[in-house]
Amino acid sequence: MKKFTILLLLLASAAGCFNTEHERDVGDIPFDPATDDPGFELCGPESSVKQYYVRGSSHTPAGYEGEKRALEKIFLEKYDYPVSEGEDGYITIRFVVNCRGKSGRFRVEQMGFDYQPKAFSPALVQQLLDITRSLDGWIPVSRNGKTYDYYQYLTFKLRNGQIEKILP
Amino acid sequence: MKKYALLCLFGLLCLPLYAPPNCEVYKTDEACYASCQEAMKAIRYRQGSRQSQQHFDKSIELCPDFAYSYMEKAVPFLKRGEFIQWKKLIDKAVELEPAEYLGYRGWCRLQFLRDYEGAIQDIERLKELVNYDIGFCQTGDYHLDIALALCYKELGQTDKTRGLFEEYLQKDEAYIGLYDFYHLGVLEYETGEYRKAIAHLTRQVRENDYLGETYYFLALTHKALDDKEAYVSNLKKARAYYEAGKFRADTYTETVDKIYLQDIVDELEDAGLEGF
Repeated sequence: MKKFTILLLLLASAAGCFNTEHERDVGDIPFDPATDDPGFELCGPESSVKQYYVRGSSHTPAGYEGEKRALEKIFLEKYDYPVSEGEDGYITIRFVVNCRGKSGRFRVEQMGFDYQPKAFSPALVQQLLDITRSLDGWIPVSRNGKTYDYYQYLTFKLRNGQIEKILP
Repeated sequence: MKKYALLCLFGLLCLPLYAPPNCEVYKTDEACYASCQEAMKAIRYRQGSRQSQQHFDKSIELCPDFAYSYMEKAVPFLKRGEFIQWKKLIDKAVELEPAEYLGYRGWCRLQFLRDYEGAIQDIERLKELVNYDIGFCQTGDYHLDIALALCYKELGQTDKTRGLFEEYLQKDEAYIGLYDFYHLGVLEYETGEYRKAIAHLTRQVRENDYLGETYYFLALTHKALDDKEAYVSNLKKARAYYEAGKFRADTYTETVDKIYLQDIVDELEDAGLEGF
């Protein structure tokens, strides 16, 4: 038992020495049972999730039905947050869109105009998150007629709590 | 030919942003030579992959002043929306080699975040720092002087924008970008200089007749001048071009002065030409 405990301690110590920063590719969003909808499923393996910007001779890039204007219209209609001094910067919501155009695994990054982490009002963040979750016009990346899972993000440039620009 | 062009585009997207450095120049510095070799290993892997990032880490560990590795390691964070991490890394590259990376960082701030003030700071600083041509933005679409002009345009500083455009375009050695006259035309339309707008947009058609957007703004300009016939014909042409796939489509982000099909359709409806 003592030997087993020492072995466990050694293993734990060795694990701590590994660089955990690069266990995955940059931007990967693994399923987190604490926050993610278990009903959201990928069509293919985790390792095959593409990026929204993937291009190639037979790839059709990802998009949104009605292009960017349709997406902007939804935020214009649904986003309703009062003008609030200090609510300035960027909120980026990263997520996965599966091959059927359904989205899940949402992650939020908040930063000021100085590119430093920042905490916006939770109510403001929640609104953006709820609207993003409700978007149902995603057009998956496709290749030779077959659609694929892909990573997408939306960045909101905010000034005084108001959306100044939606990117990309 | 189309296939070849697409293949090239695909290749460009998979390759690192900058040409790899020539490691031989570091031969006298053992650590930095090894660092450079690690960076070469990194770019053999898919950009942003675990293996690629690990090699960049090793490269940085071996030679903490090797700017190229910070810059390349930063790229996938930028493209995938992790901007805090991107900024930390690209700042380090700029700190080590400002002349090399200021213009690039400035362009990225414009392209990915519409951080006009930040982009202006970077490009202006580069102009002060070097006495040679500051070159083009990463996508090759604009000279950095034009990118600077676009930042001022978006901040509503029209005189400054106009001045920068004119200064650049009047140079003998100026390389006319694919979209320069489009933006200048849009600027003149937005400021009510309709005759100038028509001249610039017409020049844009001569330089690069591949954008429905140009015809959309030509239509709006003719509308402002009460030329109904030219308004309608240009609007119809804008739609035909757009639907034929002739419009601006950046791989990563929305470009400045971007127009979508819905804008053209809305205008057609206003003109009483629904369903055209």
